[in-house]
Amino acid sequence: MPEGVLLVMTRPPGGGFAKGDHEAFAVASQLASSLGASLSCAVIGEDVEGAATEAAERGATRVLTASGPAFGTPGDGLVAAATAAAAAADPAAILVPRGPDMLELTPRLAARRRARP
Amino acid sequence: VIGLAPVLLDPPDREAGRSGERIELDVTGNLDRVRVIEPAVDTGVARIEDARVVVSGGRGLREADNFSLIRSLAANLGGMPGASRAIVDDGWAPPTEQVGLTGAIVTPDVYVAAGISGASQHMAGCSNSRLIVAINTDPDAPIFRYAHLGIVDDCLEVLPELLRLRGDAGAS
Repeated sequence: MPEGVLLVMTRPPGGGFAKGDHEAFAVASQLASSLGASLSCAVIGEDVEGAATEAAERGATRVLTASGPAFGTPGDGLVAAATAAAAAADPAAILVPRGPDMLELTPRLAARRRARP
Repeated sequence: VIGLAPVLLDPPDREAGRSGERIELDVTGNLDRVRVIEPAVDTGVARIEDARVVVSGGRGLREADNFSLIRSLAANLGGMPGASRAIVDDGWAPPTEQVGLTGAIVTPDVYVAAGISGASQHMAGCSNSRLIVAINTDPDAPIFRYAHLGIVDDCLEVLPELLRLRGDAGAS
């Protein structure tokens, strides 16, 4: 049965979270806490090390990463990685911060998860 | 799947050395159906939505050249310039700098609104800023209902003075 919360962060700037990621992490953390569930973070991009470390240091239970040039631009790579992260975490809710990738990623991910965007 | 607009929340503090379970995803499938030849938009350009400080100007600047005061103060504060729709429509600032319902929605730590009346369409793009500083000659301007700090004065007087106080040698 799906449980927990998955926060999907895409193409973070080198070194850590983007501004919107901080706020999304706060919401995801609060939601996970209120549900008594775990918080997983997927960090997807060309260079994810800084953001992955920050996610762990801010309390993510699991950090799922996909890195490399295939994930540095919008499109299929991000969707495939986010789908793989959702399959691995099997969360009850997936949160995506507002950003350049959100509008494309959320419906495609929802369709693959048979979820509601 | 939930998309999140910017809100005013702080994440839990960092705890150096803390490490959760780390999983490298095995992403399979065809990732090469789309080949990026050349980005149509330079994604390396800073986005106003990510700025910690935004200094915006409106019709109170009176003429296009005075938007340089907005740019100077924004640069001086390490932020980005913004604009009301009115002056974007007039060509004083590019559409990428427009703040409001039909422009960017920003949530900076500091939002300076200079010569902006505070129409609801504009405030929809900035009212969640942590600190709003309004400069306007009209004490009844709606912007003062949203502002945490208000200066009732001509922004063409106040902006150069702020620049002078900030040590901007170019301030007149």
